[in-house]
Amino acid sequence: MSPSLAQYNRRQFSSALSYVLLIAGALLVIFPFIWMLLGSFKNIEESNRFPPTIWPESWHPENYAQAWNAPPSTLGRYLLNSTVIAVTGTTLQVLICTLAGYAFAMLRFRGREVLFLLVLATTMIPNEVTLIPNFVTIRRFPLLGGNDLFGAGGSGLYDTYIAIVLPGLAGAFNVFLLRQAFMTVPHEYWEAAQIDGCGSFGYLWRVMTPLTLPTLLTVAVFGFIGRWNGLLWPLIVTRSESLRPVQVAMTYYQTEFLTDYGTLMAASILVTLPIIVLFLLIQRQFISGVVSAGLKG
Amino acid sequence: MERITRRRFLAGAFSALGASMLAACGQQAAAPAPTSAPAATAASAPTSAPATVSQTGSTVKIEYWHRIGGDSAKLLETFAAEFNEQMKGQIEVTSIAQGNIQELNQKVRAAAAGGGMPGAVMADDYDVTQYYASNILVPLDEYINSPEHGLTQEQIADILPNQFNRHKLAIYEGRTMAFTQGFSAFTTFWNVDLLKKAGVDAPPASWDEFPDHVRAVSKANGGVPGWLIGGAGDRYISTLKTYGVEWLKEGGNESNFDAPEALEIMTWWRALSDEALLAVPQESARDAFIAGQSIYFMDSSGNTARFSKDVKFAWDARLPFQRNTPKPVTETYGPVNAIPKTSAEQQLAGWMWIKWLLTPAVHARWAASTNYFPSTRSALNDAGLKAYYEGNPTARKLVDEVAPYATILPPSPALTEVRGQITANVVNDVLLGQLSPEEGQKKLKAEADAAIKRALGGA
Amino acid sequence: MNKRYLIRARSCARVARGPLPRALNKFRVLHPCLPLLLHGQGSVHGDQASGSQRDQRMETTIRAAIARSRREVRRTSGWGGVIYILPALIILILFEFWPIFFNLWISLWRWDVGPVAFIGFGNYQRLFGEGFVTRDYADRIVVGEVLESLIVTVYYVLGRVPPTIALSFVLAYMLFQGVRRGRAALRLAYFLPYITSSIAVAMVFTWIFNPRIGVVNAVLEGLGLPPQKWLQDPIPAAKRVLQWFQVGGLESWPDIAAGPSMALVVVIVYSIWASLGYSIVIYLAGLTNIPSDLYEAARMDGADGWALLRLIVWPLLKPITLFLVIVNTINAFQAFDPIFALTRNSGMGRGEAGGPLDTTLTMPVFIFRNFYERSNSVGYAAAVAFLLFFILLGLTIVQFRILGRTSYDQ
Repeated sequence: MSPSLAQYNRRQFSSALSYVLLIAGALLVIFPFIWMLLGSFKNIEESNRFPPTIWPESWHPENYAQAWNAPPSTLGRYLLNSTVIAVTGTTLQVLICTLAGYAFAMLRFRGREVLFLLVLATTMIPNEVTLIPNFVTIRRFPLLGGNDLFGAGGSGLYDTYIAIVLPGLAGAFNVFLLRQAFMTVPHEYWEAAQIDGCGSFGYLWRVMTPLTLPTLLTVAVFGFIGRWNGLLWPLIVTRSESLRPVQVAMTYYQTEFLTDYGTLMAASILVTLPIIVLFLLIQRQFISGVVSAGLKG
Repeated sequence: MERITRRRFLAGAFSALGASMLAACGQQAAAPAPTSAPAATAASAPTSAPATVSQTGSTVKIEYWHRIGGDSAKLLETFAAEFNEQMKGQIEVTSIAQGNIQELNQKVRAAAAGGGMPGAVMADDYDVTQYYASNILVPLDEYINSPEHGLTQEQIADILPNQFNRHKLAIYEGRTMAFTQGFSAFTTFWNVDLLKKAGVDAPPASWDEFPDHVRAVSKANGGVPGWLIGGAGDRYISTLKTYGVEWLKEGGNESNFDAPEALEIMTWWRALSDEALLAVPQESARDAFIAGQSIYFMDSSGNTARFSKDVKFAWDARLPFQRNTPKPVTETYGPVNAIPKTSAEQQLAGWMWIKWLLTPAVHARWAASTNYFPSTRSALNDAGLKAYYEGNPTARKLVDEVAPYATILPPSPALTEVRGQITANVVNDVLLGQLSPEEGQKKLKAEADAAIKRALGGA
Repeated sequence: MNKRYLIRARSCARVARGPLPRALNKFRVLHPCLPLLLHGQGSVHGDQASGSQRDQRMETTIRAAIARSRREVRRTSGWGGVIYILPALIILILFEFWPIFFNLWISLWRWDVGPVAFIGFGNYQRLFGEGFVTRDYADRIVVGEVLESLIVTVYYVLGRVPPTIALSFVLAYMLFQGVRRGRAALRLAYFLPYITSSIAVAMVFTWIFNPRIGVVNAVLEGLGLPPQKWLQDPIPAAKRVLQWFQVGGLESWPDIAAGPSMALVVVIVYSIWASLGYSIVIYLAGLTNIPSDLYEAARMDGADGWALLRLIVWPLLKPITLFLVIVNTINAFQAFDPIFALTRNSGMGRGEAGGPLDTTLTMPVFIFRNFYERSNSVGYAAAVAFLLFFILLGLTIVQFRILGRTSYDQ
């Protein structure tokens, strides 16, 4: 049963080789982050030197204070806004896409296939051109923000968190992913659930979602990242700094600190760190959710 | 039963879709075409300004959109607070940073389609022209001349004429579409130490001597590049201007790139480029100069602030070289303020705000914070600004030597494209040797003319 | 509560199916992407590997059971379907379908900040006319701006997608097979670029590739190679490399035909770097869901690493590969952020993205430029957006066809 010595050696060797290649590759991949971190402590003179220094000659942690205070509100406010936007947006998105994916996978109604194709087709619309029509929709949203039934009079959803979050809530790609995940669940489960008097919603909630948790988590993580990194749309639909996400703050640095790479990198670290920490916290669930469930059990 | 409801639902969904589409069509049809704009605009502006800003007696709230970052953005917020205090019960301004030039422009375009225009907006010269063509701005003459809210003759005389008339142009049928708030200008900077090493005391008098001068200085300094250019399109058109040739012919229907000067500049640029004395390293041109890796740097006068802090060698600045210009010329940079079409109340409030920004004490603080040249003469008497110029004496010198000669390029809705895309690409092609200067000139002329034609609504 | 249903459901399923290997079942249940490639046909991929009669018979049984239960679900659902989809549908209608119609409308106009003149199909005529083939200043026939942008886009997609797929497969396989300790840390390292902000990271990239002070040029200098202008270099990278080695061959080629420019190559490198993590995670999920029985069986038959890879892993992951090809292709065709963030300063002047010399002007950036940075061109931009839309649609349909065929043929 146990592998022969030759096989064992070969496996050891290929394992060692894998390690060497993987670590070398990983170093290359995270090099920009290392450079970012080291650079964030350099002053403007040192960061513009050639050949560049690797280790900062003198340390300038004050870059972080400058980065924190430079935008119109402090960076903390933008980080908070991004958190609110990402958390609420992602939660709602998962909810809405789950419902739609479930219906497309399990329930039958007329026009389902056509509708599904239409949903899929939306992934192919270039985002650049949806910006202005969507802005109009947000401004003219009926009965909200002082608007009348025909969307006139007020400012609609303009300058609200809802405006930032709303258009992305039904990501067609996520509907697609979830539909496919639901379709993998054997339908015998449905029969079993029915014996217990489970309706179609109960079945979704109690059987489907636990079984497809990895996909749900994938959708959530990708949704969170996308919202955290969004720039143009939030900028267009807001006017208050108290609503704007952190990427908008980043644009202020670019115009203000042109070649002061120390401050730019400090700002980049501050903006990037929360999402890295978040990912570290959930990565066990995220990846092992996808990965290990299939091996053990 | 069920099927019918489902079908009904789909029918409902599609009819809703159709209805919203029709609504949009109506909306578009209702918008007047910009070609017929000017007359309508004039009518919509208040012919006689109301006694108080607010017609209903309540506070008029407006937004001010700008593209300024950092401390100067915060200064604008402070200004807004001070202004609101002074105008308590009448006007309340919120100053809002809208990102960089592009993002601010997108914001304005979105608002033009969906509503929510601010009471006043910062804009760059070419944007003003585009906004004008799209009929979203209000002419300012009625406000400037208003006996109650306008400017006194004294105030008008205080503003530099080139700046006061910056957007009072024939293409706007002689009306004023934007108001000044400080400016900068095309300026020549040089590394004094490098010149000294070559035994040269000062830069040459004109462009004609520039190439040989650069060759000599570079040779004495181990082949350091003579002129690194920050933006090929911008600098080419600026240089052409200091040759006494504007990029656009009178009438605005055709470019001037067929002028012999256009070819001349391209030829010597190419020659210097082939000798590695001139190049377009784009965003790092400024850094290269600061690092002592370029003899000359020609860009906005605003750079004196940065250079007086960061440059470790002796440097100086002056009016750009000239040739054949009866009176010195240079190009104006920097944003202006405009008033979008909103309501009469809001427009007036917007005017009060941008007028207030030019009051001497306020404007002096603005100039000291941004290092823009002040648009008014009186601001120079301000103690704070004087103190600022003590720390940046070159900037003060440029106020006298460069600022008075700065005028804008002839505006055209095509300028953004002609400068940023067409000229930049052609000049780079020539410098890289992909095109000869003659070919480059022909290509530039042909493509620029096509862009102008398209922007004017032909083709 | 959930557990109770699961246990009941599982036991029920087991009875219905007989002794199907549990791992196979798991593979299907837990796999996030696999079914997508099967287009919901519920085929069991274990079959490809084992190919045994027994499994096929079993599959037939399963299919019948699935069909039966699906009928059941459908009958009982009725109304439900629409209600479940309604929230998503409303949002899609408002924010996706409506903009399409709006753009269709815009594309029939000469449109600046607002509508200027109705010109019918004028924008489309211009797009397919001078946009594809035009005459230059010397009256020579040359490639038009739309075609040029299309070619740049194709270079970008071809430069980005195949290397991403190949690298992520190799890395995921090594992570899965060769590594026990430290796997989580390595996985995180590779995933990091994907989750971090594009603006922040683009800033560090422009610094690293800065021609004057960048660390990449310092390294080249250290190796005795000529420093490069990277993001500011419009010359095709192939020509540059040939210049290094002083070999001729491409000089006579027009630049647009000689492959991506140096600047575009840097953009491609950045894009691969930024999107690699996603593909690795998807591959890892697929790898882990391959039943361990299969590995054990193959090992006992004496299959070594290479044979495992060739006979089991690669065929089983083929659907995932195809899925990743589709997703990456769509993403690459629509890529805007990486190009915008990296090139907006090399466009010169106002900082338009797409430079130098338009060699990184992919179609989304071209659309953006016409939409926001040219006067009177919003309608034209809308027309080009439709072209891009139909290109993507066509491409995806083709990929689905190929995909479908591959999975059924086996």
